[in-house]
Amino acid sequence: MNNKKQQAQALLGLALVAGCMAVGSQAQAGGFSTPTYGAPGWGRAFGGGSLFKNDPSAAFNNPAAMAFIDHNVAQMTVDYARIKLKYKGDAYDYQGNPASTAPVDDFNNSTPLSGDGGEGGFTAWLPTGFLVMPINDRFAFGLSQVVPLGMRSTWDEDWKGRDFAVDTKIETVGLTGSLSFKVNDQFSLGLGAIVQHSKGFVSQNLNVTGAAGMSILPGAPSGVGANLMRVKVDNTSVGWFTGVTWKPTEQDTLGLNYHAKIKNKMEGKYNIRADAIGRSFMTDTDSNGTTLIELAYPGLKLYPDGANAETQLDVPATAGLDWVHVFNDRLTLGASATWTQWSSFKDLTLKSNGNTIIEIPYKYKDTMMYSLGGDYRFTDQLTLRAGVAFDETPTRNSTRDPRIPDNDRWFTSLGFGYDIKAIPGLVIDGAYSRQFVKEARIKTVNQDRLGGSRLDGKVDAKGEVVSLSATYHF
Amino acid sequence: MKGIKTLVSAAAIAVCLGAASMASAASIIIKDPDAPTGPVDGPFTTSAGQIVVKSPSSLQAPVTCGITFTGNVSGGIATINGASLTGGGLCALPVLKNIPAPGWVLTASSLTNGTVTNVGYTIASFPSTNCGPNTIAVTWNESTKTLSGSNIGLTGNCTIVSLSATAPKLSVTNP
Repeated sequence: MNNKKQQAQALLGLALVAGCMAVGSQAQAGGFSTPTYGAPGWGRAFGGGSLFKNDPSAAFNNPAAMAFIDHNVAQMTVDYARIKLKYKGDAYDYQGNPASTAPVDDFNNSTPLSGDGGEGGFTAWLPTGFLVMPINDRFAFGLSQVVPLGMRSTWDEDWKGRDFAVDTKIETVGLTGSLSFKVNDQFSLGLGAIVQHSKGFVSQNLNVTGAAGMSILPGAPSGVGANLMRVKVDNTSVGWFTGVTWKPTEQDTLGLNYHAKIKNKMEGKYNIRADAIGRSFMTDTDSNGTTLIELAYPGLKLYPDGANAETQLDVPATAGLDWVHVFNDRLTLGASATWTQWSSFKDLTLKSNGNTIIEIPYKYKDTMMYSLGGDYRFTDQLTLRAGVAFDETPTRNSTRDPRIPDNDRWFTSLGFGYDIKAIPGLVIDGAYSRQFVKEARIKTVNQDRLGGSRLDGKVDAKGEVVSLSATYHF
Repeated sequence: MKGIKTLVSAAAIAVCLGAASMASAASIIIKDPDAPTGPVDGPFTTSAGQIVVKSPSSLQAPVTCGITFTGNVSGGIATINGASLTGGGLCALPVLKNIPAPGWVLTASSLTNGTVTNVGYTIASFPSTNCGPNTIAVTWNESTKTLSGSNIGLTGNCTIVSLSATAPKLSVTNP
């Protein structure tokens, strides 16, 4: 009977996780990574990682910590993220004139591109789920659904920076399985695997006449017409992660985790909503069968009606060190330092059938995130949380663009947990996290083949995340 | 009757003046330094030529191309029957009107000035170009053997910003 009850409870737990298996969006951290925690973790600003007692997010963040969870725990989280991005500044064409546009049939009649892009940010719902099931005294098994990468920015189609970015959407949804092994009461090991599906969508204007001006037609007017290039790619890839947990004292838990880099070659299609000039440049040929685009940029082939697209967008390796200290039965604090090997992201290269369409250098740098947070058990039912984190940006001033206008940021968080006594084992957690992002200077010059335009401005960004979790212990 | 004679005389003078004017037009001849006594008629080829044009297909940006003419001189008039453009980009695209026939006809009106008729070209790519044919004014420098012109408008929104071609065997003389 007890076994049947346990099975039913386990199924309920799995169902809770399964309910989270919808494709989500992102609550942005540095670059385009996203925190992978439930509401308790958000409430602590990720301080202490997943080492707090019975935190099922260990199933992904540090599987070794599952070894110290003494009963089944399922957690379903829904995050609501609101990120605001505002551009202020100027844009110039390749000749140094203010960015402008003109109709294809009256290209001398140019008008300035004056729009600042509108609200470049987004709102999104992000579901996350974790399940930890102790198998016996030594082993525990974990499942999770996480979003390790995510980024979105959406600028107006006719804004002054349209040659740099219009839409950017990067999302990964990962399903993980992990196993922990308790070596003894002080030490445990964990190992897990992730299968993730990544989707990417980017769009921007191809400034065909500007690109011509940068090569075969010096002096040609920039910004004539509009040619919106849209690239949609996806991929499924596999990675692994591991962790160790050590309890040197009754009050202290230390954890080290490592998530390996995941190779992620994304494939799909692109198309170009080309105007008459753009279509002509891409399809009209000389007597040798060479298109105007190829005349301007030898080797470059563009097909306005679409072709294959592929890009490499690896998930960077991370390593984290977490420490949790229990001061007394009410106060527990945690601290974390997380390193992300963003330097593996050197450029965004779009290829089609082996032909390089564009290669934009980003040259990201490795980053650290430092966080401090804790729990205060206010009553037997109510736990209060707070935390603060500093997250370095991987972007560089020299290569930052409006596609990922990131900069260093502070997270400040408040949260709570409430035991629902009426339903034994059920805890509701909530958190509010506010991100204060350092003004992101955008001072970049576009590739010749994208029109050679220049942006000189800044993006003001801020974000907030509301997180709500239901955690069921059974 | 006297009035009629006077009118006839005036007409004769006018005809003579016209004839004198025709007679003052210069002639284009072949004058080969390697064969100074050779025929004054015959084929010619230009070298070291360059043309800079603006047209709708170039979005009115100047396009610089190398240009080589080939043709034939006959009766004091040079007819260009062949022209080839070299250089990258749009230089490969123009289709020249009236080449090879009836050709671009080069006539000298003086030792330093002349005209070329039937000049025009098309480019099919968008925005398409369909310019000329027009008669354009050119200049001749006998000492450098250079045919040149600048800022010459063609119907169809084209401009020959500059034209320069050296024809070592050509000479312009008074008849």
